[in-house]
Amino acid sequence: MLKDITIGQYIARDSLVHSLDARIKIIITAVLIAALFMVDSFTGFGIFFLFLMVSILLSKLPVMRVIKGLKPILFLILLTLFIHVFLTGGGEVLWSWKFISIESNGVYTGFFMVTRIFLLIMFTSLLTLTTSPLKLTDGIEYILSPLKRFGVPASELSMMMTIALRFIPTLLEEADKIMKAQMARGADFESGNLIERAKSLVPLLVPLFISAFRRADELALAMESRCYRGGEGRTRLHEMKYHYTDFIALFIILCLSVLVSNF
Amino acid sequence: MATKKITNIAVLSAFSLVMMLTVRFPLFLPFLIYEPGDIPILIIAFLYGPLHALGATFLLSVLMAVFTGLGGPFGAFMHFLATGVFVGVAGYIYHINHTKKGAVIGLIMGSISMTAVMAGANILLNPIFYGIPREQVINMMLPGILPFNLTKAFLNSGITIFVYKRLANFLREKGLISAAESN
Repeated sequence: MLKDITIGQYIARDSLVHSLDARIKIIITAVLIAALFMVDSFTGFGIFFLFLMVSILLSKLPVMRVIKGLKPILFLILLTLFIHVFLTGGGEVLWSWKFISIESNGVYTGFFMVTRIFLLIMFTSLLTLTTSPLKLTDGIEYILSPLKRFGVPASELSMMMTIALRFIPTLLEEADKIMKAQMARGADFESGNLIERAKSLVPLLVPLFISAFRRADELALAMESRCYRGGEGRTRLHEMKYHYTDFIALFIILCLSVLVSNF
Repeated sequence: MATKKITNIAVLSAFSLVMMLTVRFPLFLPFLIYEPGDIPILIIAFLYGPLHALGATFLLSVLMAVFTGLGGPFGAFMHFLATGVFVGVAGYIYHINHTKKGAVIGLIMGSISMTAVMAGANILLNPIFYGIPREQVINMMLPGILPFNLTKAFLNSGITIFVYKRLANFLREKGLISAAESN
């Protein structure tokens, strides 16, 4: 059951896109998301699609693997298309049967929205496919650090993110083990009404909570014995450095976004 | 921030994500999926207060978007909003009124505010994110979105109440959290 969950999307490659600075890549993704919301024609989307193809080629990722990133939201895309095609009215009637009718505006808006969602998901998964979680965490810390002045503990947050990343596989495995152990004792997680299903979660949650706290306790001890003392004044082994390619990439994307969003 | 607090919040956030991945079944409409991911975050809210719980929610939403791709960037944003309001309100009320009654009132108020905020957010943001016309979202409100959020929040609240007291006692006994952290 847990075998078909994909965790972690990063694929290591030696490519231009991979080597860009994580901070710049996060900013670029944000710019692209904003730009995609301003585009209001298929021409604009077409240009972004070409740009997406170029980025995928440059990143040397297997195209099929990138497309697989759509799987978790495939349902949402189909639902959006479905709602628009059948429920949005206006324009020419293309097909009708009894009370159902498909009208041209609905088809147009449906495909328009689906294209936008498709591009959004593709660009964001390109970010996570080409940036290792640790670099992303560091990037997020840098981006949040101006908020330190308002009391946001940016470095602690990124430390927590790193720890959480490390514990997801461990806890997944443990959840699986405890589920199987409870099932062997006759627990039933799959059937029954709502209340019964909620109740059946308790024998899964309590042992997991306890083991989670145990692990956190051991880790805190290990960190303290290595003199971890919070974010203030911590130095890093791998400093993040900007390269000129980062700024060129950012410049290209800003120009592209401003130009295309006026289409 | 104490190291213990950092590791506890981090591991519980990971736990929340694990719960979201392992236990999921649809309620009311096929795309409204129940998951018990809020429970560990509620425990953080009770142990450390609403602000820490908000931090954990942020952390969790980023991990969700980066790590699993569940629901894409909008899904992560909506999750942040929903869980953030829920644990923020529940944690805040429990912090003022540190009794079992306070916890119950906090969870109920949290569930209601979360449902209200999510109703507003769905009406406001779904047309922008998915282009679904506002009337359609409003049509889905009564048969789907409202009862879904309320049921999900009440189920998670019930389990949290059930688990929290025992857990806190056990943890204090074993010295896994200090007595000052929860009572």
